Amino acid sequence: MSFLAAVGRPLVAVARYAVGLAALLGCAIPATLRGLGRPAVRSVLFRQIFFTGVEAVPLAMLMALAAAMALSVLSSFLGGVSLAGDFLVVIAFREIGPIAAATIVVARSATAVAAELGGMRVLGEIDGLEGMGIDPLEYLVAPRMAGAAVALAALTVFVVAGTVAAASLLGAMLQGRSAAELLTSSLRSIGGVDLVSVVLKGAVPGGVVAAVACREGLSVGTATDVPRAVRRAAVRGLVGVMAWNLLVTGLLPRR
Amino acid sequence: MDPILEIHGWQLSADGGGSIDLRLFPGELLVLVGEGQGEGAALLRAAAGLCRPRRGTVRVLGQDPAALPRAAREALSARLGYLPRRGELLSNISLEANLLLPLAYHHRLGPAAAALAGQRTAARFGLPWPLPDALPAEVPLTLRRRVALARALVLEPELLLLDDFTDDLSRSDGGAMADAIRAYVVARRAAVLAASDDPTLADRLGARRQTLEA
Repeated sequence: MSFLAAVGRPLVAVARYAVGLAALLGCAIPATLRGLGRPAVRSVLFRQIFFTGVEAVPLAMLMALAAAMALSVLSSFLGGVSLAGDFLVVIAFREIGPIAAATIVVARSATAVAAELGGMRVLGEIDGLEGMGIDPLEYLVAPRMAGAAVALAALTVFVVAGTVAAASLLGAMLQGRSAAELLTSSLRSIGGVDLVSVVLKGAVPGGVVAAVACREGLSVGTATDVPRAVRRAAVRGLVGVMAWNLLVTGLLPRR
Repeated sequence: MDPILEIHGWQLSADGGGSIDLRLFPGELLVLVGEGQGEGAALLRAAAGLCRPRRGTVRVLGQDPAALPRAAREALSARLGYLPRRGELLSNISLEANLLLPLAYHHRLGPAAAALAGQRTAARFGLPWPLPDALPAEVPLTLRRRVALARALVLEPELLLLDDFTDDLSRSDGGAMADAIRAYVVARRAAVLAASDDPTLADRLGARRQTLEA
């Protein structure tokens, strides 16, 4: 195989996948708007938000605590309170918070969605739905994407806030300072770019991660394809999250 | 009187062979049997708008389901009841949610109104109400199949498409379902097209029989 083919084929495959995903996202937006008028679709949407967001809160708290521990130890090496606050905000808002929340959603929800839809495909339930005149895009895909987007945005805010609060508390214990002083310093350090970063990194990947999971789940042919679809949903979801985070970090101005 | 279902020139095998024509009018029941039983299932799928015929035409209530745009096809599907052999119920929602799904989707009924309509349908088909709070996989096949039939009829369709619905059921359970279908057809003047490898089903339904031979 020539060098060009070796490099080109995977690139073409990635580009094709991205186009397919973009088409799915493009169709899912009007389907979401149509579906909001139907109680059956709203119920799927609310279940998805509950499963992806509310039920993930204990794990999100654990992640926030783990991140806070690491950050408080690191910030203890920094001199002034102001510098420690800046450090906490930049790391929690721009990097650790969004990535931790997205990782939770990929691990818990993207895998579950891929397995669920894959199982439905294998059992012939998708055909059964279409036979009833129920659009699988509107009933299955769109509410899962919208639900995951809303839930991930909320989880990101939760993890970021939890990380900053817990890191201030732990940092105060480690450094012998007042927790209120460290927290106030962190809050004062929050800038517009930090908020934009949370919005971009929190709101966008949820829908994309769910779209990847739906696409993988619905592409299943036989029962043995289901575990593969789950693995692809997890790996491709994580790769997508990392790529998006790198892109946003690269585009946003530094302090 | 216009036919509810009209099939013309349906090719029975991919490599040529015979073809069939059929027309189904209100109040008629037809069972497709014979060695081409897989073709019967394919024919039902085409009538439900899930695939296009290899050759020939399928018209349901005067329309070609596979050629309709999304909204028109959705409206046509709400006038059909389709009971597939596999995947008759969604495995991830309860029996009750399954039964109420077409009402909540097509008629946009809220939970209370849908439950009321669902209760009426359940009573009509001898189902307990409330239905057991269980997923389809957690209840016996007979109950699952009866709920699936009730769901196919919950919107009071004009055409019922049944793919081997007595498969794996005992003779008495299959007979009870056939009785319920017959009673529905009489009450609603609906038409039924069924595919089955059970040669006695047509007699139990009081239906015409058409053999599919390639």
